[in-house]
Amino acid sequence: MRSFRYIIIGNSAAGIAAYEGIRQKDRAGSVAMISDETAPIYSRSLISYFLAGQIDEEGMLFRPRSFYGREGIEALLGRKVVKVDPKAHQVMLEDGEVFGYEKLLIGTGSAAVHPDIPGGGLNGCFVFRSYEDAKAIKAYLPKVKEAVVLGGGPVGIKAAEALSSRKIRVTLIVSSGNLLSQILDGTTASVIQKMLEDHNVKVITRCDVGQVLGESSVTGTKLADGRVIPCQMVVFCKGVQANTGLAVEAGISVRKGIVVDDHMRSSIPDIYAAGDVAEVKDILTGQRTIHALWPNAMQQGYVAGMNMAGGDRSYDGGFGMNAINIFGTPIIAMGLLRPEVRGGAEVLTAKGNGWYRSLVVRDDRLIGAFLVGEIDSAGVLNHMITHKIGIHGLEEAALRPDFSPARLAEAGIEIDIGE
Amino acid sequence: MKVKVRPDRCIGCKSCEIACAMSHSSGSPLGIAPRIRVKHGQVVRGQREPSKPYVVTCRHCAKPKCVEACISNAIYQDADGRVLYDRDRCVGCWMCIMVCPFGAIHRDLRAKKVAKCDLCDGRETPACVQACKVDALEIDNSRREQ
Ligand SMILES: Cc1cc2nc3c(=O)[nH]c(=O)nc-3n(C[C@H](O)[C@H](O)[C@H](O)COP(=O)(O)OP(=O)(O)OC[C@H]3O[C@@H](n4cnc5c(N)ncnc54)[C@H](O)[C@@H]3O)c2cc1C
Ligand code: SF4
Ligand code: SF4
Repeated sequence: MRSFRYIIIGNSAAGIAAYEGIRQKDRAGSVAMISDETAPIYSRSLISYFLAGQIDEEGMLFRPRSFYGREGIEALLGRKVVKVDPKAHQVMLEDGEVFGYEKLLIGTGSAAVHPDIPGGGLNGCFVFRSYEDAKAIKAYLPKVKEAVVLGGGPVGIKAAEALSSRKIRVTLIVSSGNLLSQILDGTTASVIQKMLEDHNVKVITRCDVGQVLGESSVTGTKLADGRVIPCQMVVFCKGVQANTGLAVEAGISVRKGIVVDDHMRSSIPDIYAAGDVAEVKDILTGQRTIHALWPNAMQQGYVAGMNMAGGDRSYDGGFGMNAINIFGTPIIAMGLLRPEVRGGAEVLTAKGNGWYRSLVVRDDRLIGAFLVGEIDSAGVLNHMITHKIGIHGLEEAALRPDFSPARLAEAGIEIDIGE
Repeated sequence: MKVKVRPDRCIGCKSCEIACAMSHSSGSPLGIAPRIRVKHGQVVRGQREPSKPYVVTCRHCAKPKCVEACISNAIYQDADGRVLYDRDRCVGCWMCIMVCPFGAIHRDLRAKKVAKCDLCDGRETPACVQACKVDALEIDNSRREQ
């Protein structure tokens, strides 16, 4: 049996960052990166840009092809881990091979939910999570004039936009009352719905697909209310589920995701978790949650890697944030924006020619920001949310598109990034 | 290497902005967005008198948030700690803008990509530092822990 000092399961954001964290502390310790995907390190967040034809295969790479060779990593691609044995410090692969580890990172991310509805397995039905998914959708495009996208979250919107840019007529079907219902309230979301509709994406809210129609390939969808929408492709973007199976079976504590402490350690010694599979602290709600964001996965992976190699770093937690483009209009949503989560907080709004902005303020602290059109100062607001900087007296300035650290400096607030 | 700002010295003349735009254009700097920007604090409610100038530019952070957030690896940190930018790779997702605490990254509206300080890659002294007549900008070569 071969053994490695470090084994990393998953070669995406969390895995790469963990590797880089390890190498900060340990230049030579052996590392194996195992992934059931065959592609070299690519950026999952870019698959909609790939589908739209905006970038090619080179553009998808997140690290150069030479990464594994040069960095002395054993890359085991196209191979799935089926079992983790914490007592023996071993992982077992689908093909039966067993490897020993001293420290293990579970960076298995999450998988798209494929709803179990009649016709859901016909040719022309896809999920949208991996490079393979994007390639398969792309290859199927010549057969498609109309597509139905299910799900009004960021992934559904990105899929709809990418297909639409390929001159496909898209209908976006959303179960809840509005788009981005996990992030925004109905009034705010209607701004985004209007933008999509102005670009010929039809949006149907408060409805679900009951059935996908067709013999062997998709010819349409039948909605729960009986309406039929002709289409040749259905893309399910109905959320994701953390890949926690290995952890559960190994006896690791799991809720929605793998439970970790601030050092990214799981409940079992020498096993760490990071990224979309890990449940971490939300600094705004104080609750444990999965943030499912690329930068968060990178930060968590890095902290996990440093600690696996003997470091003592902690991860302070994060909060929900999203940057999206709707046909060229930039939109940024950060923190607590929905009435259900923002509670009695005050909401300030301002708008001008081509821009809109709202800020959510609770106890003199910024806890949410929503920016449309003019976004250059988003990072400064993000910093204020993260570091709970008092906003008293700065509200008016922060609502303006030209907000900058100058306004903070004038109020005697230095931007301190701990360097 | 990074450009260090000495706010006490800045007189708000914007020579650095112009030099930056020149340095990043092949011909006329008109229409080229500078990556360094001189801002003023107030402007709210009719006050006309500009307050103390403040230079917004990339700090080349030791553990840069923009690098963590960039989904395309367009922004990266080189071995000397410079936070550089490969324009061809940028997809204009604005993740980096959402996380830079200094607001130092701007959208290049025409290209639908971002523009940020590259320390005038290939030049010995960045154009802004060279242009500043009162030494409010200087080169800092100190190494920082990551
Ligand atoms: C279309 C789309 C757009 C997105 N856009 C953005 C964006 O703009 N900004 C943003 O912040 N985030 C975005 N995200 C989210 C972001 O991509 C994820 O948060 C990030 O990829 C999480 O990284 P990860 O390393 O935790 O997991 P993942 O990227 O999910 O990678 C986990 C890897 O582990 C592998 N794996 C799982 N189980 C096993 C096993 N048993 N054996 C071997 N290998 C296994 C998986 O196949 C996968 O390769 C987007 C996501 C999608 C789908
Ligand atoms: S762009 Fe912002 S976050 Fe990135 S290195 Fe510069 S100052 Fe730091
Ligand atoms: S806008 Fe460009 S540089 Fe910024 S995070 Fe996105 S891809 Fe990276």
